Amino acid sequence: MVNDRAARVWETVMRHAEQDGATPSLRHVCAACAEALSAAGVGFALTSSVGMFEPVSGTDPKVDELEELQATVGEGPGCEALVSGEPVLVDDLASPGSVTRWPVFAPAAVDRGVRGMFSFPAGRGAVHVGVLEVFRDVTGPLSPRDLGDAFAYTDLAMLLVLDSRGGIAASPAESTVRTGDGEAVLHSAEVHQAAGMLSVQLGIPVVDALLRLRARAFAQNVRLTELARSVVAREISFGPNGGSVSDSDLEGSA
Amino acid sequence: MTASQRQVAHVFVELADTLVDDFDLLAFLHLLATRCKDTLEVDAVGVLLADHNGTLNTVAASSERARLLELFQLQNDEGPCLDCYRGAAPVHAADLAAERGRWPRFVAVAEAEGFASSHALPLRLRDDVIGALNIFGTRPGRLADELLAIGQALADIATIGILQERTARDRGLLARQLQAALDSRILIEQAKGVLSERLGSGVDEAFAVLRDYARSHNRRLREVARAVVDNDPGVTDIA
Repeated sequence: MVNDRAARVWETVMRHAEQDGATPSLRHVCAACAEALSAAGVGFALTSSVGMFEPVSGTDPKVDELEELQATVGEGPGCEALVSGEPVLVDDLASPGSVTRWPVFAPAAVDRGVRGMFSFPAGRGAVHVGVLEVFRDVTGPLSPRDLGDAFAYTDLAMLLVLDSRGGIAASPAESTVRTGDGEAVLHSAEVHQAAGMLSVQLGIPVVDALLRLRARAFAQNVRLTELARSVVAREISFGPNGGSVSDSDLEGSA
Repeated sequence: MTASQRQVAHVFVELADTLVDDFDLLAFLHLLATRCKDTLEVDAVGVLLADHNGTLNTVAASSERARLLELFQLQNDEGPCLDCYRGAAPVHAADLAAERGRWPRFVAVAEAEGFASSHALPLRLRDDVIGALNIFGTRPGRLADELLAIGQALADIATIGILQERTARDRGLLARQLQAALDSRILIEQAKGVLSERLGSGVDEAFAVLRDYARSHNRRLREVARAVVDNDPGVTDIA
């Protein structure tokens, strides 16, 4: 089912990419999200392993500075969202609670005119690729609509990161983001079961197993859910001796 | 009180007892699905929640049979759950054979799985519907009104459980709550895969191992799933 919110959100990202004459990337997700939520700025930080926080895209220098600050001092809503795997929604960074929680970061953010900050981990289960952060110059919670949109932008960011890590180009025409494969990564039980199985077969983290699964589906032009089903049914395996499948899967699809 | 009334009362007491501080939402919904199946004397029950996109996702089921989970998920295209969610009202398909025109794909898969009837009851929160309780029977027939009333009460308790986990009074928090429940469910799917590969078992058996371990060690399903996926030495005794 193509639902309205996901479609609307993707359209806004595509528009920003087109204006830029580029393929959709995290930068466009941040820009589109900032516009949709009327935010002062939106940033995205990647995580490669637990605790790593690597800012990549911000809509303005202030956002980049604050992302860098979180990475440097290792505290802030974004760091917390990455560790807990849950969104951290801060209505007022100047509140005593916020200052106690983030003694270095919160005052620094307030100094730069940021009052509200909302951090959304991009991932599903054990698969986490980063965190999307919305900065506002006013206090108060996000509206339900903005919150829903933020979740949708975060999902898109995750899919784009998985695409780029898996060597799958997100060309507008065949981006996996708006196809069944993107949907499957977000919702399919079998895809995540298969990723769990592959992670044991290959001795790699689940996120890498998911990348391998997607890369192979992409390279062989089969639906991700079908491939996942075959893995769960043990019709195919990716193990070191797993028949025709080899470590060159990723490169093969790049 | 008749024996069956006593049984129903027992189920509600059991569920209410589970809703203590710091309870395990996924284990609670799993228990609810299982008790719903037994109490209503039906053959399968699932709890589905809608995410921020309005996509229905299974968070708990009376059986982890893969084809059953697929049948729930299929209803993002067509089926009683989708109609129930969109229409914010119960949907009764007493005879699936008579609904082939309405839901061709759904009925085909349901029949292949041996089901002949299906009901969907809304998970209601004030004016919102946040998901659906999906019921399947292997024989055609509409559930008696008193059973449907019990089913709706169970659907309401499921909603209370979701809200209770971390008091989600406003809609913003509710969206977070739903997101967290769905994320936990995906983590469990990943852990099922990891465990089934280690055990050489099916994914449904892996779920049983996960659930029994969480129960006997008094830990949350989500926590155990996370430890399994992370290969945490603390749970190496699980398999």
